[in-house]
Amino acid sequence: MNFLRSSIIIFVSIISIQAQAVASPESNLELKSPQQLTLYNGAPLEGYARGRVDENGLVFVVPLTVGEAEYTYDARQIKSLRFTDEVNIEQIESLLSLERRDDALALIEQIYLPRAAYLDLLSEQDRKTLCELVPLARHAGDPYLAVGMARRLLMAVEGEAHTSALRDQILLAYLDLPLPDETRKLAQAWIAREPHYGPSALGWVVLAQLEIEVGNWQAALDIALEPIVFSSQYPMEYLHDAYDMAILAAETLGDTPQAEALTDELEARGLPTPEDRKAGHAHE
Amino acid sequence: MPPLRPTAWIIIAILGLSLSLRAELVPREQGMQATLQEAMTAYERGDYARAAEAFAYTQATYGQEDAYRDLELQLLPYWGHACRQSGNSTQAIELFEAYLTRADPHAQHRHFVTYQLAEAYQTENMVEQAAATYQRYRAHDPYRPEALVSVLREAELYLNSGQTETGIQLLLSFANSPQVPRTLRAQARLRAVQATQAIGDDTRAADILLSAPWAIDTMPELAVLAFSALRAGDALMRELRTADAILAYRLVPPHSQLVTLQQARLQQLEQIRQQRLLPLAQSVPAFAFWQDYFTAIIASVQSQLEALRSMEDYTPGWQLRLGQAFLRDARPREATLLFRLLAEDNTLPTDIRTNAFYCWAMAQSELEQWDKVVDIAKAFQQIYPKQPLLAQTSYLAANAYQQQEQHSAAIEVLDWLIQSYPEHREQPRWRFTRGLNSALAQDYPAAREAFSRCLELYPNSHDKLQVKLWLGLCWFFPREYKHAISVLDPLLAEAKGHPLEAEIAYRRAMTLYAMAEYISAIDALNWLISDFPDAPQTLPAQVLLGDALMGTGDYQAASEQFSNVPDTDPALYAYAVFQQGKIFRAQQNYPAMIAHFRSYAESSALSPRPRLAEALYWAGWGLAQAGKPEQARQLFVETFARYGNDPQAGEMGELLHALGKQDIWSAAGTNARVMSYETWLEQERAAARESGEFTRYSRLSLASAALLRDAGKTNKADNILYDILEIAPPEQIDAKGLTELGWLLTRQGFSHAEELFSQQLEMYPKNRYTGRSLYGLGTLAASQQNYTEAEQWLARFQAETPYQADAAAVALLRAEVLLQLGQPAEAMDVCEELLTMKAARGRPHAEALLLMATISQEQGETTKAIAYAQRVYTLYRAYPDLLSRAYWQSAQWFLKLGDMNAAKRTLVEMTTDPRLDDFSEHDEALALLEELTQREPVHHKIEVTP
Repeated sequence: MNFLRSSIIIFVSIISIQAQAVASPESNLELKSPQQLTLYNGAPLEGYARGRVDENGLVFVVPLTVGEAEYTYDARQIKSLRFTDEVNIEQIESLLSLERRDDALALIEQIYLPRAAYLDLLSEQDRKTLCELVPLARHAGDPYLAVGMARRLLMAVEGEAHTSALRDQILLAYLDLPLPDETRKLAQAWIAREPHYGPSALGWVVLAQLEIEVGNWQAALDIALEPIVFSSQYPMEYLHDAYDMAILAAETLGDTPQAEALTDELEARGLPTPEDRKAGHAHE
Repeated sequence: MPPLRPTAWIIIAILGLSLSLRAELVPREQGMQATLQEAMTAYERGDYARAAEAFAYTQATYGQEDAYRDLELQLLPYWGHACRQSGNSTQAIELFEAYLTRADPHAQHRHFVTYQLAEAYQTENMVEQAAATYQRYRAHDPYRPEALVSVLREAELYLNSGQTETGIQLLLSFANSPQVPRTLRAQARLRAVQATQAIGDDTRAADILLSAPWAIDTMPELAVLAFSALRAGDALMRELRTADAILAYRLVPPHSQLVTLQQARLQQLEQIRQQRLLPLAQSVPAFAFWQDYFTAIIASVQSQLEALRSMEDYTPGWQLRLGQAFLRDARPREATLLFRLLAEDNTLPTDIRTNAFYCWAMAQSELEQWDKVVDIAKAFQQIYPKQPLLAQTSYLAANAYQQQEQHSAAIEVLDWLIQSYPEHREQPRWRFTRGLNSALAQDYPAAREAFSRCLELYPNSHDKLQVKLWLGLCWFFPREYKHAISVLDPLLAEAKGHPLEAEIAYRRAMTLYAMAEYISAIDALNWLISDFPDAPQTLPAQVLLGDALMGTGDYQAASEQFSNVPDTDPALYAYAVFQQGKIFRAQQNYPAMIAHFRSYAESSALSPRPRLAEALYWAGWGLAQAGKPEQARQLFVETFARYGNDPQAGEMGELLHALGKQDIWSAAGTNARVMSYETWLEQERAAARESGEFTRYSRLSLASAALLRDAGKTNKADNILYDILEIAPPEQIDAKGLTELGWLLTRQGFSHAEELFSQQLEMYPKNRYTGRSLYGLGTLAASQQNYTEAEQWLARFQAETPYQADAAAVALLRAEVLLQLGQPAEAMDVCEELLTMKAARGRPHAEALLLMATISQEQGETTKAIAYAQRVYTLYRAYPDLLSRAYWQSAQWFLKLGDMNAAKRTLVEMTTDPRLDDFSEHDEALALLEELTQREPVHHKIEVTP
């Protein structure tokens, strides 16, 4: 591993910085708000992250009265890097609810792209906040961005809950794209990984959706019934979607008793019916 | 051990002692303060016995001192609490009662003491006092948390003292109160479920369980909920409330998940206890209250968790029961998923897996996935060849074979069952099903044998009447009506009041009708209709009564009977309508016939009438017969325009045929033709092809081909038919078309004719072309020397469509096929039956006789063979080709028997009939005759003249 020098002050020339840094495309974005860099052995610095060098290096520029100072730090010296601009999730959700997708997308990119190169240096809380942007990017109509964000965040976040949620978003984004063959493989991998009675039905729901899209209603019904059968009263995400699909498939196949039994059970189990979710999203 | 600090701080404050004294045990001899310090320190440390003893010592030693008297009232709550905690509830009651008597109504510890007193009463089983005290405790602020918990305690009091209903009611009222936090409500409801189950009222317990969602994210006793739900599910299953049983079982998580959840909930409870107690550090009563509460509940959950960990995994058994609930709730798909999971898990115990296999097969049977049923049974047998449930599972496999019409496979399984499990209680059912499969395979002798054996071995079996009914039917189907009636007559008497009585009566009436015993049949049907007005057999009986009346020649009565048939069953109603129309036709009452069919076709009934096009055809036919060709043509053309492209519309071929009559195209009142049929046909054909109406196109093409064939242009006709095959999808060709095209290909030796016949059978199973398709399939199979398959098709023809026009040809082919299969006796039976068919008189009879001659010869019965051949050249001289064969064979067989004179006579007779000169046998016959003539006349002893 390449240990970089600690706190080596190099110079004031922007040109020399750019020559040294191996920056990602995102790192070339202009950072309007300053960032706060906290090192394990010192007080916070306020300045601007200007890219990454080698694998673990951060180039950080601190404005001086005249010119600026450029620092290069090894990631292991850094306690946290905090961006000072506001991350307003509610604002994005509000824009989406108003169908202002382009504006929402712009806001997502405005938040995510400057941070993208520094995900490993952000606090866990900040990374979790960024995770919340992934489904919003999908809703804003950019599943590619959602996949990219989720894949990068997967390398940075910790905790099963978050990694699992990100994998789910990747699967949903593939479904949105649409890339049916790849989605099918991902869904099958998801199913192989997740236990019965687990916290989510997503893999089954996505697979059933793929079958519905090609008119294979019998397979869709059989697949959608899996999480329904192997669920208890403990919460399972996307379970109501599985019910919706199974009911639709049963109706399409002319199996009215099956469709009615599932509809009754959906209500008896207190799961949200399609009417309850009119304003909601299909796969959230 | 509970934390001590808060109590100590309070006591210190009460006593006004210096801080240096707290939390140290000092000798009592140092005085009252030291003794009290000992009591308080012991109390702080949870050493309640020592604290109680020290409090008692202080009172006994210093009770008369003013200093003690000043303090006594404040000490009583702690002393009483120490007594109660150390098991001396009697003294605790005295102390608490003393405190409440003497203390100020607004004293700080009054509520604490009241609650403690109620608890002490409860411990001493002083139910009324305890209940009253709890209620007094709640009186001033019933919704504070402690007061709410006291309700649970009071309910417990009732449950433990035999006042169960009072306790349950209190819990339910509490659980339904919106002012109570949801966790406590859930606890109360769960306790109500437990209490209700404990007194054996599982139905009510299940209803309580399912009355509202559970607070599973906060309620402590998840394991109790799971086990209560399991028990409730079982109870609901017993009551056949399967949908509710599923909901109850769904409250149960798998064992491993429950352990994890309960473990997490235990940790959560510990955290809540810490959070709850922390702010109460300065409040002795509240602290003590919640300390007690959490100690009890955590101990309970801890013990449940330990029990859960040490118990056997309930998951497979629960999943099995859930699967059975799905199965009984007519949700076999869900059931399949569970049963498959269990059956394929080789880590599970045998009883679970074998049950799962059996139930899995049942679920697949419900789904009519017959192949899978068979596969499951085979897998079961492979893994558990000696398990009792294998028998039931194999029976399901036999049923699956039966459903797939693989009757020989079904019989094989049933025979294995019958032999392998001779003492099994299902023997009668297996034997009946075995007979049924033989009957369905049209092997009636074997079926009768199975049914008879079943009755012989199990004369009192539950299904004996059904077995007897089928025994009768197995005489009826092969038209052995006398035998059938000999079974059905006594059976009807035996079935008095039995659910099968109406069915038996109907079958008996059918048999009488088939025997042409019309008067008896009419009596039987009238009795059935009057005695069983609501039976499902009554409607077909009404139709059959019409037929029986027709049989007696009483057309008027028959017509009235048919007109009385209600339209509740469209097919039977249509049959009655067409039978009535047939009577009008026979009576040449064309106006009535036209009106009758028009009325049927134009009915405003909500559901579409079957055979509409056919009705219009007959109305048109009536018009033509009534001398109204223009109206008839108009009706035919309109009907064809409306229904011509509907593959299901019947009589379209006949309609086109009727349009082919010349007079149909005459202008009204003249001999001039408005158009030629051929022109109309070609115009319509072109238009149908252009518009892609392939059903219409194929019908018109068939009609066109028929015209060409009549004109001797066979090749052109065939070309038109091939054109249909090329452009029309099979599913758009009607039954007549499929059959004719199938036969076209069959005659040319193309095996893919099979697809067309099969399509006809599948799409139009009850169509009158069915017999022709069966014959076609039999012919194809025979031509490919697949005689077993040929026999199946031809036997099916004889069973299903015995009066179809091809019956004679089918009988002859079947006899030949049976001969190929090495079944000469059966072949002979078929020929004998053919000889009884009036419709087969003439050439078919002659052919049958020739075949019988061949069979006899092959069996070594040459004399008998000659007799059959002689009948041909005696009775059927109109068929020279057959005559030639008969003579030639007879001559050879005479020779074989050594009767040269008879052989010569036969050859002379043959060779002197000039009609036989051109047949292949002629030259050989002449040669043989010459040879015999040149021989020296020999007088043989044998003279065969049958």
